[in-house]
This record gives sequence, C-alpha cells and structure tokens, in this order.
Amino acid sequence: MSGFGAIIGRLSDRVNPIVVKELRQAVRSRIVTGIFIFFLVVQFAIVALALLLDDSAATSLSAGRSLAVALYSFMMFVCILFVPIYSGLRLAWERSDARRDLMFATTISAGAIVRGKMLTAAMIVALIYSACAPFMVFTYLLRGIDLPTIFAMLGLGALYILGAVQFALFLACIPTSRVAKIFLGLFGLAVILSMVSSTAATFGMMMAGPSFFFGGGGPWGYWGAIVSGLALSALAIGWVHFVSVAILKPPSANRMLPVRVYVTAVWLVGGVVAVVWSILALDGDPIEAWAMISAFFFAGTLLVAVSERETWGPRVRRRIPRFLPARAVAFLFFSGGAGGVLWAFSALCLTDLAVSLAHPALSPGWDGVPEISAGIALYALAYALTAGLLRRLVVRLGVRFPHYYTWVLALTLATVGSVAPLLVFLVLTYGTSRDWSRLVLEASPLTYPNPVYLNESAGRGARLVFVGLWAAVVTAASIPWFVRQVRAFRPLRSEPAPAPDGARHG
Amino acid sequence: MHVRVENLTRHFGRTRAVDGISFSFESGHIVGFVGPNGAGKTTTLRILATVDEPTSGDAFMDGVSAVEDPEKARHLVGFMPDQVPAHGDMTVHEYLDFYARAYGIRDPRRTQIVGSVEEFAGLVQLRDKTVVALSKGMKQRISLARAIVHDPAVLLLDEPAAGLDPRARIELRELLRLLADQGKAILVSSHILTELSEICDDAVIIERGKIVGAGTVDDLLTRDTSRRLVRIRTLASLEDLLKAVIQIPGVDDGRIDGRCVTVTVGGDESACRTILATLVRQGVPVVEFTHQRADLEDVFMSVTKGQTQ
Repeated sequence: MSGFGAIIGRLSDRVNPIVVKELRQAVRSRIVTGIFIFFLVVQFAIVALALLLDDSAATSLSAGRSLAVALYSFMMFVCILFVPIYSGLRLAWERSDARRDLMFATTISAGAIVRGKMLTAAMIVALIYSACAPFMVFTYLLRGIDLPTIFAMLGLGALYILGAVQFALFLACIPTSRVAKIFLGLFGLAVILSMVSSTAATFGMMMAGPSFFFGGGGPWGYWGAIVSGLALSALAIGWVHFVSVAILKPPSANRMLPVRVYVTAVWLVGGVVAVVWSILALDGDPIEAWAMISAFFFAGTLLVAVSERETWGPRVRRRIPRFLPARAVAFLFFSGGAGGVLWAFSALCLTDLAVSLAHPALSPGWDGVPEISAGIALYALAYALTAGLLRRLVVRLGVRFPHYYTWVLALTLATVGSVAPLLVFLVLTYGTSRDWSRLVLEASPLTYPNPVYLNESAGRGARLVFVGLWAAVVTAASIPWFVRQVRAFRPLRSEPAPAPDGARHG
Repeated sequence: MHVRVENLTRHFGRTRAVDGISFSFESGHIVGFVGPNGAGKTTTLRILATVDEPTSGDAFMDGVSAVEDPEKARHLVGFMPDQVPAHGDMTVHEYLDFYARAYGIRDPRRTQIVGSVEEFAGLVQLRDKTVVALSKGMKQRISLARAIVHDPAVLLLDEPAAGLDPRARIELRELLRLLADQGKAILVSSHILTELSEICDDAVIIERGKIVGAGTVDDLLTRDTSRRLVRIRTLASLEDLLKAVIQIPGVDDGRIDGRCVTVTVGGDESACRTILATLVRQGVPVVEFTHQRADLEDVFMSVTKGQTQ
C-alpha cells in the first residue's frame, strides 16, 4: 500500500463505523437525493419568482431581508421535519424488538452509535446547506440583511436541526412498546413542530435588530443573547445526547455516571458564568435565570433519581472506590436511587444557597427567587420520596411494582395533590359564590400541596413551612432506604470464579 | 471455551418463553438446539448473543457474563439470526466491512479478514452485489460470514439451514464442521433434525421454555433401549408375516411398511433373537431382519408433546 493509501486507511479507521454505513446508505437513498434536488429546484424558483414578480426588488431596502426570510423559512421547515424524522425512525426501526439490528450486538459502544447517528445527520444537514447557503448569501446582494446575520441564522438553524435530531434519537432510544412508541413519535413531532415556530420567532427577533433579549443593551445585548441562545441550545443537546447514550447502555452498566458528571459540570460552569455576567452587567437577571433553570431541572432529576436501581451488580461494584471519601463522592454520581436523590437535592440546596448569597448584593428587587427556588427543591423531594415510600409499601403487600416506574407514581401524586383539593372545593361549593382564587390569595391550607402557588407571595412562608415539614417526615421515613443502599455500595472483594460444572447439560 | 447457561428465564408478560434452563457446551463441539415452534430457542440464542436480556439467570462464556458484561461477551460470540440481513441497500463487501469496523478491526487487518471471510463463505463473486438482490441461500452465507468476521470463539446459529436447497445445506454442514474443527463452540437451532443428527455432537431438546432432553447425540439415540424398531423382510406374504410376528411375546406393535414389516419390540437384543428364532422355527422365509436405529426425529417426537405457548 502506498504512503497516501496508508494515510487514507488510517483516517478511514478513525471514522465512526455508523457514519460510514449511514452515509453509504444515504448516498444510495432515493429520498435523500430527492430532497436535495427538491431543495435546489424550490429555492431557485423562490429567488426567480421574487426577482421577476417584485418590481421594487432593485430599489427596496428590505428586498434581501424578505427573500432571506422566505428561503430560510422553507429550508428550516423541511430540514427540521425531514432530518430528525429520518434519523429517529431509522434508529427506532433498528432498535425494535422484532428486528433489532445486529450492530447492537457488536462491540461498538452506545456512545459511538449515538454520535454516529448525530454525525450522519450533521452531514445530511451540511449537504442540504450546501444547496441552500448560496441562495441565502445571494440575498445580501439585495439589501436589508448583512452577512454576519445570515451566517448566525444558518448556525442557529443548524443547531436547532441538530437539537431536533438529538431529541428524535433520544425518543427512538427509549425501550417501550410499539403503541407507546407511536405516542412518543407524535409527541416528538409536536415538539419538533414547536421548534419550527420557535426558530421562526428567533429569526424574526434577529431581524428586528439589537433589543430582543434581556431588553436592549446594544450590540452586547444582541450578540450576548445570540451567544447565550447558542450555548444553551448546545448544552441542552449535550444533555439529551448523554441521556440517550445512557439508555442505550446495558442495564448492568453505570449508566448515570456520565450524565451526572456532565450536568454537574454544566451547572457549575453556568453558575460561574451567571455570577460573572451579573457582576459585569450589575444585573441579577443572569443569576436568577441560572437559579430557576437549575431548580426546575434538578427537581425533575429527583423524580428520575428516585426511580433508579437500588442494588449494584458486579460490573458497577468493580468500579466502586475503596478509599472512603472517594466512595462517598462515587455514591452521589454512580447509578443508584439514594445517591441520585442526594446528588440532585445537594445541587438544589447549593443553588438556593448561591442565589440567597447573591440576592442582597445584586438584585434587591427580586420577588422571592430564593424562597421559590427552595420551595421547588422541597416539593420535588417531598413528592419523590413519598412516591418511593408508597412503592415500597405496595411491594411489601405483594404487588409487583418495578422501581423504574416510581416517577410515574410521583407525577400522579403531584397531579392529585394539586388538582384534588380544587375538585373537592368545587363540588362542596357548587352553587355558592365562593371561588378558588380567593382561597389561593388567602393562602388556604387546601392550596399547600400545589407547588404552582409558590409563585404567589401571599402565604409563601406558610407553604414553605408545610412542604418543609412534609419533606422532613418523608426523609426520616426513607432513612432505612438510604442506609440500605449506603451499606450495599461496596467494592467487589474478588472476582467470582466460574463455578465448576461437571455435567454437560441439566 | 466453555459456555454455561444458568437458570435462564425470560418472560414476555405472562408467557414464560424460557423457563429456568441450564446447559453447557465446549469448544470444538456442535450442539443441536431442538424444539417445536415457540419453544424458546430463538429467545435463548438472542440472550446468549446479548441482543435480548433475560428476566433472570445468566450465560457465561469462559466466565464472562452475557448480562453483566455484554460488551466483553460480544467479542466472544458470533450470532446468525433466523432473519436475513437487514441492510439490503449495501453491497456484500460494504456489509461485511461495516461489521468488521463495528468490532473495531482496523486496516490493513480488516481488508484481509473481510477478504478471507468472503472466500470462506463463497462470496467473492458477489462482493459488489447489493444484499437485497441475492437469494435466500446467499443471504444465509452473508449472515454466517458476518457472524464469524471477528473470529468469535462461540457461534450461535438460529435455523441456519431454513430455506436452503439440498446442495446449500450440504455446503453449510461442511462449513460448520470446518468451524468446529477450528475449535469454535457452536450452538445450532434447527427444525431439520436429520441434518442436525449428522453434524451435531450433542443436542439439547427444549419445549415450552424447559429442557426436556439433553446429552450427546449417541446417548440420546440409544437412551430408550427398552423399545426398539425391527424391520423384517420375507419372501412370503407380508400379511401372514405380520399375523405371525404380532403373536410372538415381546412384540408390542407392528405394521406393513412398504415391502417389509416394522415391529416395535419391548425388550433388549435377546428379545430380538427370540423373535427371529421363533419365526425361523415357524418356517417363515425371513430374508432380512434388521435392528432399525432411532434417529433424532424419533427422540424428539418421544420426548416432546408438540405443545407451544
């Protein structure tokens, strides 16, 4: 083999096998070729019609902008629908129980599969962009739009499409029945369609110029908003990517470790960026945004954590550190119910602490953000642990209730806790003039189980006391559950030798 | 290589597809995995191949667990499912090259291995054809080539001979023998029991998710020694022979079978000697008296009830 051939061979080895396979198939696919030709034809038609039919195209100061909007809307609509659906359906088909693709039985890692699918989607997007970008850049020659905006739009658009692809892959990874997959697919389609409108809105704001995000602020506010939007989108895509990989891994694997490390890193870096941004801009909004996003995110994570495994197989136990402090940290980050709950609740507490410390210095006008953040943490903990307690009680009564469905129970409890008092109230007061909103304003105890009312300043203290006591009680009742898992979280002493097997069969 | 299946169970809702089965096999052996439709053969093979997960139990390849360490187990196992390759729009060479890449085999070794696997499976002439354009037999060959592309120590073949013509079956049988001689442990599920009895060293018979018989093929064929089939040919009338033989003590059953009479003898070889002596004494002109050896199909029929779930 020649030197050049050897280099090509080595490069080829570095390429993700999924990318090689999918691109080979995509190149042969009539759908992909058809879409590519369709793009060229339609965009050519849009530009030609715009120039031929609009007499003012040569003189108008916004002709370029209008044409860019038309081209971009068409491109995004087709891309954000076609590429994610194509990628998601392929993976779902390959993972279906009846025809599970044998690549899942090879030594290729779960991460490489998801990365490969993403890279393939990125290549298809690049292919479509190669057909669209020249037309978009052409609009600069007409007036009303500049090149940086065009490239920022294309970049943001690509990110949206890849976000939608990652979301579609995430849904395709979820192991569930065919009927549930259809519902998941419909849900995914709704989310992706909402992303189309969100992209259009973002694009409209970008066209409107500097002043759409965090209210004004000149170029700093304009580009700061674009960069923030891009960064947040990229981080969200990263998170969905890690979760998808975790789902694809075998149940015996330490699935949650990479997810928790990633989330913790993003949360810490996000906190530092928010603090620095707030100090530089003398504005508490970035910290407030970080705190509220973190509170909602970790509250959701608590529900997932309480549904995790409660014992560890040899595979995870081989990785548990022997050094006690390292083991304590590992307990928080490794897959496991109690560790996950502690990890999420610790992050919630630290977020609240940070926001409480920053509060007097940066944003004296905040309306109870530290209290709301604390309330969200306590409600999530209370509902999650109550669900865990109920599940264990039901299991003790002999009913089969797998731990991985605890989150369903927690959500049901939260829904019942929030809606049931209202329904009871409506039944009892039917035909009278009393109304529920008055009870909310009067901070009636009936409204305490509903976390949404934390938003009301009236009675917030009483609500916090209620949920604090509730969380304390269920935490105390869950202590045996925590202790059992802490005790079981021990490294494997030695490799179990395969049992001698004299008989050939039986 | 020692493969050990321990208390393997797989439930689909209320159905127990595999119900606590245990067996083991070694390198260089071909083990037939026999059972009616719905017995749990494919489910067991899929679990061993780490394509599916058991409800409980485990399978070990030289101590590597298919449940705890599926990634490690995948290095050791090659799986040929009963379905034809899914990627119809790829060429044979691209298909095998993809799987070689997926197993982390790097160039120039990959090119060499894919080439030799194509040669072994007789696919050299077809390497540039798309998979979808090939016959069922050729697709089976591609499937086998894919299963061995990473040189696994254990081969799991699910109905490899289904849909093949007689020549392809013979070729497949030779390929499997060759692989076993190379030291691979091979587990083959099949309905074509005559084929299995010719190539298998051992057999495991499964029904409704449970093992109902297991052992070496010779052992299984001779296990039921209390009953044997004897084929008798005479120059006289077959009806007269049947009438005569059925009255001899030790003969349980008899029937005219073409140009001879086949009787079931409840007893050992001395019972057969007594029957022959009696017939000769009665002046029956016997020209053939053969002990008919049971085949795997007879064993299968005697140990299974034909129940599915």
